[in-house]
Amino acid sequence: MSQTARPENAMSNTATSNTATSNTVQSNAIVEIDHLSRSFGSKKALDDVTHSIEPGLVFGLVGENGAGKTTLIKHILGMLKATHGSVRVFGLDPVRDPVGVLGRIGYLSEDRDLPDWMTVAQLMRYNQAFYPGWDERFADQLRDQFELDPQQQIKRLSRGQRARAGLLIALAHRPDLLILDEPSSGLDPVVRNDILSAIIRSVADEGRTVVFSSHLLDEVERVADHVMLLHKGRVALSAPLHEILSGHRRLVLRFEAPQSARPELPGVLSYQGEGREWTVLCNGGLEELRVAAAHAGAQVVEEETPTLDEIFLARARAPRSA
Amino acid sequence: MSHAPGGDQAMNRASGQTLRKATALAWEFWAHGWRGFLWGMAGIFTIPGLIFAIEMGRPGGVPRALHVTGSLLCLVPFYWVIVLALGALIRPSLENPRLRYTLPASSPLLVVVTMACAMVAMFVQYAIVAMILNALFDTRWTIVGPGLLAAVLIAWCQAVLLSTSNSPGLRWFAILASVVALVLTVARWGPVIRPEKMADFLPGVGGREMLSFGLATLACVGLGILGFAKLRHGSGIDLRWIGDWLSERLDFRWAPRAKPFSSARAAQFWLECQERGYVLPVVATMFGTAAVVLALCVPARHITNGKPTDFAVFATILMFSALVAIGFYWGSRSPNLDFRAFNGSRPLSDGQLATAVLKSATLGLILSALIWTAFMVLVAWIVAMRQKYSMPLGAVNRTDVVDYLCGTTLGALAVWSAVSFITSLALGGKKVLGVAFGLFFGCYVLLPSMSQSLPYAFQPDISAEAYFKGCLVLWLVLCAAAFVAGWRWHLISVPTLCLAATLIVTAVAAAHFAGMPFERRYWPHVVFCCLIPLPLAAAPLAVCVNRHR
Amino acid sequence: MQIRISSSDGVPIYRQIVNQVKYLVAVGRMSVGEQLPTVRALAEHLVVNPNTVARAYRDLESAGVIASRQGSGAFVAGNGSPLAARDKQKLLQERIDVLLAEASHLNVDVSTVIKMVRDRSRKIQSE
Repeated sequence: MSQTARPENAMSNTATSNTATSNTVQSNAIVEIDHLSRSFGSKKALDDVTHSIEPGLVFGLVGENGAGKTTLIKHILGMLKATHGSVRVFGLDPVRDPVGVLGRIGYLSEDRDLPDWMTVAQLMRYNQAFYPGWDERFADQLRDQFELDPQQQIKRLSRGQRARAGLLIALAHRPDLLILDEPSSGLDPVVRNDILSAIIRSVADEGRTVVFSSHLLDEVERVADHVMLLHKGRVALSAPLHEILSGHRRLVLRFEAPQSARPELPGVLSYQGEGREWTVLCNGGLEELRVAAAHAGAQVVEEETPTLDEIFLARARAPRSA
Repeated sequence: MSHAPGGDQAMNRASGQTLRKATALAWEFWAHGWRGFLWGMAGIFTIPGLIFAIEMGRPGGVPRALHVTGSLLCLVPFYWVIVLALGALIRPSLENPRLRYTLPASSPLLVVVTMACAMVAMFVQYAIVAMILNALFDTRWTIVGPGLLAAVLIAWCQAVLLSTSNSPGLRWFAILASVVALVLTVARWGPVIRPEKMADFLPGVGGREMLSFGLATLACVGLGILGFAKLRHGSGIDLRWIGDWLSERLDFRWAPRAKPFSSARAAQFWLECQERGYVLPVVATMFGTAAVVLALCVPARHITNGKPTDFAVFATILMFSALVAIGFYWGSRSPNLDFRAFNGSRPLSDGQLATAVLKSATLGLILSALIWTAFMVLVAWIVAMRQKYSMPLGAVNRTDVVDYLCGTTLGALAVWSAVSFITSLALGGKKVLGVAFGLFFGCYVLLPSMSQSLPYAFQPDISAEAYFKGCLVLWLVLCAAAFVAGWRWHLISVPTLCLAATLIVTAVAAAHFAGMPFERRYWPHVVFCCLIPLPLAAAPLAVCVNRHR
Repeated sequence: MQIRISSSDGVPIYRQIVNQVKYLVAVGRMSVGEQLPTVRALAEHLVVNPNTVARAYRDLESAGVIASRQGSGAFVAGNGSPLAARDKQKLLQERIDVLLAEASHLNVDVSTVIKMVRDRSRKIQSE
């Protein structure tokens, strides 16, 4: 389905692109990432990442700073060339065909990179020329809704307004793929709400695909369909959100005797506590765990679904503690 | 002053703290800028390197090239070029990071330490460059006098920068006014631009010079502290209200043209012009104005003893050095030459992005050429009027006009090609620039001059001329390879190739009629003409390399 | 329809929606035949993924609390009483479980708890 394309072949061989076109008839995934690896010097930013993003879904990308989220997004946009593995967006190579790929993508960068010297009106007029799907009325409506003064220069906008301006030009041309890199970072709750509403509306409206990376896991939990956790460049967890939430359980165990050290139980991802009460987090294997706990002299006092926050903390720390 | 032990201890502690703070500030200055200083000094040698490389092409070999380069560098104008270049490199370290405002240090301490470091940096850099030039080219530059002058100039520059952080317009005006004032002052010391040897420029630093330098430095320090303190406490000069007032008045008249762009390429071209392209015409206007002011104010005898066009020629030489820097600026996509998120995610192919940059550069060059010519004609006329020089408008020969036109065309094409090539290198990012720089210096400066210093037995049996011609052929091969690669990777299209062919034909024709006919013995000139369209292929390749890392 | 979603509740969002709709129907704040907002409208209102709302609606439909009519949307189902009663009991049962767990931790036996409940009920009724 997706081939490991060497950079020279990707650029010079039209035959390869023909094969690529015929391959896309089989799959309708918007983004196909195949064994993608990338190092910057000695640091491994991505390590054998493979995934297909289906259309019409909200795809949440989470991980700590430096886990490789922005690197992955840059590969999708063609700003990084795939040296090991391949990336295909809309069935095309984003490096080889920037117009075909980028013309259907709305992108909000992490640092809200916009030309500082332009006014909002100039920015809208400038972007209109690049995207055939630009809806002028919709753009004006968004501008009014975001309360942006068209004659205001971008360098004079506050952080929240800047994010709104970036979101405006990402949404106004009704893109097939919306990519938001840390959209909520450093923003007040009002702007965050705007951004989340915009994501929901895009998905609900025409079944557009949204890829967004975030630290705010409660937002990811509200809005994502599928979540991928990156840890040091590797995919630590990649599953639909409802599977993750239904699979993981948080148990509070009450031991008869105080435990001096961590009670080792099978299938536990993380431990917390001291003395007689311990909170453990596990993914499946509940019966085994209950039996083992009973053997160790513990009683299950509480059993709940953990939040995404707790799951990911447990997962991110697990390799270190293992 | 208390003589009690406690009092002395307190004073010692205070001065110890001040010393520690000063040391930390000084460390920051050097740690921030040392790489820039080193690269800058290396970059300065591009100018003599270019001259040396060009002279190498002529028969006579390395010794002759060295001699010619040395005699050109003896001249005072090169001092000013080098001072400007070094100052431009130190300038980023002189800026006002907002961070400094909240440091627990007094404004005088902050300003004095930075200024002292900048002055030392300038003096040391100048001294090193001068000593190297003396050693390589035997130019006999004086070190102490001009070095101190350069240091005082950088202090003045910093004082201006510190005081005008809020207002770029005011800053430009202040710098321009300073330049004009400086030239007027220096004119008192002797002819401004008459070819004067550096050996006679500030040869001795006597009491009078030290006093003037000292007073000037104190003035700089005072102005710097005043300006910095005002900015630090939020009451700096802010001319934004002028811009706001103007935009309010002009708003209804200058209603934003709601017409959308005709195509993505037109939009990108507009962006390039608005963001970077306008710089050269603006700089040309400002320098032109300064030149006119100088032509009007400087005592006539100091401007020139020869033709009225001398001053214009000198100013144009300075302008050419600026072209190199501006060509570089046109290609740089961001302060560290990377494609940032907005520029990199434009839905345009690499070739289209490169074309937008080149078009904007070409438009900038054409506009500036027109502006500059107008100003220089005005300057020459003013000087002629002041000197009551009668310009004999004798019979204008047809061959003269043709010669002149062809020479101008060829010159214009060469300038366009050189500046666009520098833009292409900057488009390629740091790696491309580093490689190009290294290759240029290695092939054209180091290798030939080092081969001369090898023992006779190891000296290669190639004449300098043959080496130069061989390099030229290599350039031609690289140019052809660039076009082939661009074609294969769909970065350039048929119209570009047609344009390249047109440029070559025009250049060859111009050369032919300007005295270098299309004969076998003039083949290097034909090769030069064939190199002219190189930027058309280099720019898209550079974008491709830099945009998709 | 007034529903509140809490992100850090420990309960998945679709389950919160299901529970709250059941509660509203059980206490009578939503009457039989009343129309629920569309999946899309509710998703936009709560700022939650439409698929989550869709799953909640599916659960509610399979539990018989709501019924969807083709083209018109979802309505509160007509067979009110027995289901409502069952749900009411289930809600109370959850509260009773919590109360009993607390009592057991505090070492208060069940008969004391029942006596306390009766006393409190008498006191509230007399006010």
